[in-house]
Amino acid sequence: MNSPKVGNENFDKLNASYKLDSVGSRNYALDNETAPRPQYLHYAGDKKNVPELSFLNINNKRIYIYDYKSGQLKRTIDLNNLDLKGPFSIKGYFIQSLDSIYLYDEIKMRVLRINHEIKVADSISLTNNSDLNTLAWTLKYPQYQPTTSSPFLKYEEKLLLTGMHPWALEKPFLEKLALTAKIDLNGENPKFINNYPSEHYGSEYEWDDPIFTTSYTDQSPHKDKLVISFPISHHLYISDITTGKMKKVYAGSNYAKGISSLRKRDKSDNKYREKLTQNVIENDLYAAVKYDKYRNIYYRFIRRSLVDINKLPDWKNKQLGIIMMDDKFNYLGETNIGTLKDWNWENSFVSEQGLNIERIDRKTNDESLLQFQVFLPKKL
Amino acid sequence: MKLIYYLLFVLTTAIVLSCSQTAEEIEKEFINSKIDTFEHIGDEQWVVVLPGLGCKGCIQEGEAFMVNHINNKKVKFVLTRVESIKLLEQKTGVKIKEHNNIFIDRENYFELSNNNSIYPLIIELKEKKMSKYEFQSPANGMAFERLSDRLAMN
Repeated sequence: MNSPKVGNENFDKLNASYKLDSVGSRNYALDNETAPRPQYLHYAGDKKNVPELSFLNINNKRIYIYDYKSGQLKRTIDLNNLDLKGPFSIKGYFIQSLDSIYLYDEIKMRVLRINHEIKVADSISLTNNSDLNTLAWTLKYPQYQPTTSSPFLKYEEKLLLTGMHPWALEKPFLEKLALTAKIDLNGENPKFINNYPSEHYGSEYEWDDPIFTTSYTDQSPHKDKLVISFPISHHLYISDITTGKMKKVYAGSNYAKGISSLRKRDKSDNKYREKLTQNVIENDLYAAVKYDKYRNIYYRFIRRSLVDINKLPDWKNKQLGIIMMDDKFNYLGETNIGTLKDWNWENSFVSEQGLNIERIDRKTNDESLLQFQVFLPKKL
Repeated sequence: MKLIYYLLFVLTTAIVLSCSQTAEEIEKEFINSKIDTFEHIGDEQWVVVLPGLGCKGCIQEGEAFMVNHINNKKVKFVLTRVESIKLLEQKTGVKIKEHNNIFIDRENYFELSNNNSIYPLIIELKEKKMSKYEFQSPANGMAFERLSDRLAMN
């Protein structure tokens, strides 16, 4: 019996007119408490005279804010002394202003708003205050692991945060569990939109791991639209933020073949983990999507299949590719930039200078710098 | 909060699929072969493999063990899948590079291909060969304590 497969209708049919070129690098000096590869990073270049790059050090609970261009550290925000009862674990943030910073607290699955004195001004539950000690909420609400590629996004008076259900979701729950929380900054309970597409999830496929179920998001040039990339779909899903209606557009790679899932899991299969790893290595898996408003281009990341797994058994030897599309999702081309060992692709963002991707310095293992390579599309 | 994705996807390095061997046999053979070809063993009697990712509580037990026994020359510490040496040094207070009984496994040489890859691994040696091994896991939570006792007796 063949494994179920998500076919790529445009495999080997697309023509490239652009490639991605490396045009420079940017480095940011880290203090002795901070390592490269921070989990959550944010570029703010829109309304600021001086574009800022900030990131969260989850170990020392500080947000570091740098001048993006000069690389100088401007300030830090210390979250150690939040006036909260009980433990908290901040995993993501959105800086509206220094008097209005939104934080995601993983322990209680809530969004906190803090003011300039680092006092908590608001607390918004993302589970409608469900009892988190039972598991019933996990089939009604998403789980969040905010990253630079699944970040807080601002839309009018709302913050959007898209999560996931980490394991395989049975069909009856697909419609009950929406992935994106629309968090009202004026204090109303969050509303939820965007379900997993039923053609890929909750069906004959066995996507039973976060590597298949994580969603990656960015805002489209039409501000009322959210673009969602699922790892196992050759399409992107465009969500109307107001109505929650989704439509899909083709956004695949010319070189990606069908993406095969494992067969339904046999719980007694003690080699399931090995099969899962093999499946991940052998298949193409899509990842982050970024819209470049300076050049009207979408970038979509893909972790390419490794064909000869005997020679290259480490999944981090997968090549990282970046697909380029115009703002109507017409294919422009795609470029491989190296392996997953060379790039922390989750920390990527678009600035006026181009697409910034965190580079991993494997030769020196230098942990004193946060390093980015900047890329620009170039006509072939 | 009970995070149900507590053990997030931990991909393994080696793909070893065999129809004729049990999972335990494959695991034992893998560890045996790794010890046989590991060039950094001197007079140590134990190798402790600490993964950087996996079962948090188990890894914390392993890190605490390393802090307490860092100067014990009978133990070789192997740090595998470490995200940041800088943060590990900060967390443990151990200057990693100053101890020659610590091996930083940058190529994930010791990474197992099964579910046990998320647990610290204790390997007992006899004449530079593996004689026994066990994991510190929720189901086997006393492994480091037993090793501490044995080191105290030796």
